Amino acid sequence: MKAKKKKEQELEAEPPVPPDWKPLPGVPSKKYPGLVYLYPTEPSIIGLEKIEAAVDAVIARRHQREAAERAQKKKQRR
Amino acid sequence: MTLVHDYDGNVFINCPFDAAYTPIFEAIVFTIHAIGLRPKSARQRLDSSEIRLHKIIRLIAESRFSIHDLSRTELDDTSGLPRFNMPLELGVDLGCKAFGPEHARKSLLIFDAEPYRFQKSISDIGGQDIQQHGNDPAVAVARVRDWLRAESNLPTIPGGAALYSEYLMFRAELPDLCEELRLDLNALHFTDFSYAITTWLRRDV
Repeated sequence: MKAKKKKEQELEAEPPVPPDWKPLPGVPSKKYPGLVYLYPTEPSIIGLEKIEAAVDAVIARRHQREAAERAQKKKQRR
Repeated sequence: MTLVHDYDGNVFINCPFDAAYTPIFEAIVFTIHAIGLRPKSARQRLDSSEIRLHKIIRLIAESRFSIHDLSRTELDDTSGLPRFNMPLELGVDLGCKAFGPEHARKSLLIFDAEPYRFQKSISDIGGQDIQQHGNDPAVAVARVRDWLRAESNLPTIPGGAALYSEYLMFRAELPDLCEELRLDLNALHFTDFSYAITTWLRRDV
């Protein structure tokens, strides 16, 4: 129980917010015009650049898989 | 008391933090982001020296919207007592709305496990519209989406089915995302989870 509590506290602990930190502006959605996605008001511990790079890599792999599946289906139809 | 400038965009989530609740919690956090609002949780705050209740009071004061999930208010196996944190936080929020004229526009979504269970435990909230999600993330997404559609003035809110479909896609890619970041999926901090959702939503359109 104590170990669980300690782990929870560790997960909650974050570095202090830098004094010059400013929240990022919202990002308009391309899929739903008028909708704006909001970032958290605290800085990312990992860093936004790293998260963006990881998201891009994962989405690129999915697009590759989808393209390969489409090509395979096209091949089968012939 | 002056409201924070982004008050109308904030949604405070008062819910259990145990592993069994994680699928519901993650679905709710995703839905709030995908609708164009910002989830706030006691898990996000940076200052470890801050007293927990003060932290929660501040988050409640910063949020126009709140979700209070009482569905897991049940007897603890070890102590034989229920954990009262979530009903307490609901009480703080109701007090904030009642006593702060600037908070009169506050809107609360309350979940409980069964339709009329609250009448046996906290009958004072009788007369409020209490919702159930049945521990089903799809239902939780729909309830949160419908409530925010009715209560916010947001011009565009995707449908419940579209939101849940996007959530499933995000959730399926989350392990890969954590692997890219060399992070343990179970140790992903709330703030970074939020950043991952916002980044994924803005990229995958």
